[in-house]
Amino acid sequence: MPHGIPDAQIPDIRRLLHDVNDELSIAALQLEMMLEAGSVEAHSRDSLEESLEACRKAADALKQVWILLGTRSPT
Amino acid sequence: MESPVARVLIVDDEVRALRLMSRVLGSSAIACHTAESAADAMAVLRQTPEIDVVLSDIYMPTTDGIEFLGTVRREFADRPWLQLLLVTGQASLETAVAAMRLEASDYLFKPIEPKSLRESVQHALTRAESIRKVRSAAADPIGSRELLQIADTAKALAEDMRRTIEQDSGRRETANSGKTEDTGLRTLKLLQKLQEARSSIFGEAVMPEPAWEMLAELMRARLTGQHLSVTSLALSSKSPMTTALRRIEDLIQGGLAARMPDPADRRRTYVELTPEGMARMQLFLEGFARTALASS
Repeated sequence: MPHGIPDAQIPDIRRLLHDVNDELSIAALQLEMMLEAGSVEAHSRDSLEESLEACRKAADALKQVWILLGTRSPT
Repeated sequence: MESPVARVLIVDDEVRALRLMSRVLGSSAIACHTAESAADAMAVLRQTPEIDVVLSDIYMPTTDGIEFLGTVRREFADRPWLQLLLVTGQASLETAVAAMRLEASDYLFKPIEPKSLRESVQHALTRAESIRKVRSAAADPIGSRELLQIADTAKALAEDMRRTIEQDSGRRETANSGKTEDTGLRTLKLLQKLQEARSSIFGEAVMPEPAWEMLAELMRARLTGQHLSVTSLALSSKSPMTTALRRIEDLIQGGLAARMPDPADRRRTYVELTPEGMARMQLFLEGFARTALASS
């Protein structure tokens, strides 16, 4: 366990990461759809874009955690 | 207005993801079936032979997506047009290997961008449609015979192209003087056959107008030792002149064709296939012959 996490806990952590990524994906897709619709006001658009950017950054950070844990399933 | 036939099946245990992906595709007029489990998805596939694309999440708590897609490939081996798209949370060697084994069209990473989703699904639908058309032509006795004839002609022409490329290293006149009447007739016959087959077998996506007509005409001219002016080439495409001229520029920019000064009159230029264009046409003809023979 080079990252200090007991091996026995890694499958559970991977599952949780997967769930977090799924939730982020849903939020990001929803935001993309709202932005695509083009019916949002300028200030709302800025907020939506910032939220989308935050989701993408969080998803990137998650990928880093995945790499630290090793890349075995779940994928 | 009649709703489009649903040719896509999305599989995900997460209902919200199903709903959102359906909406994304629906906004591009791509209708979808959805399933929350492998068992449901198999039932939908059994009842719906119109399905061309299966888009599935790889990791679902109750379903192993890779195993599910493997079962789809095995159980529906008689539907070789089925295109599989994998959705995954993370790029990994295992995913890439699994995608290759399943002959997946593509895999998408979460969070999925709507544009990537639409493009991947559209591409998969086009591929499926092309395979269906070739198979349906091959299943028909007349279509099958036609395909075999086209394949034979394509093979013979590919051989002509190969010889021309070999002879083409600085000996243009010699190469041209070796052209036989057979080559010209074969080329014309093939062009005619391909013209007929193009829309019925391959569809627009595989041989888009009018660049295909012009490439074929350039090949015919090259094999029979003729020179083609820009105007003659544009006319051969049977498209509006401005469209044809744009396509000629595309072919030149793409390195497939080049403008050459007419040796007899330097004020005039003609267009011909470049060595790259020749090589690509040869590859295309060989590939075409292989596909047609395999389908027949």
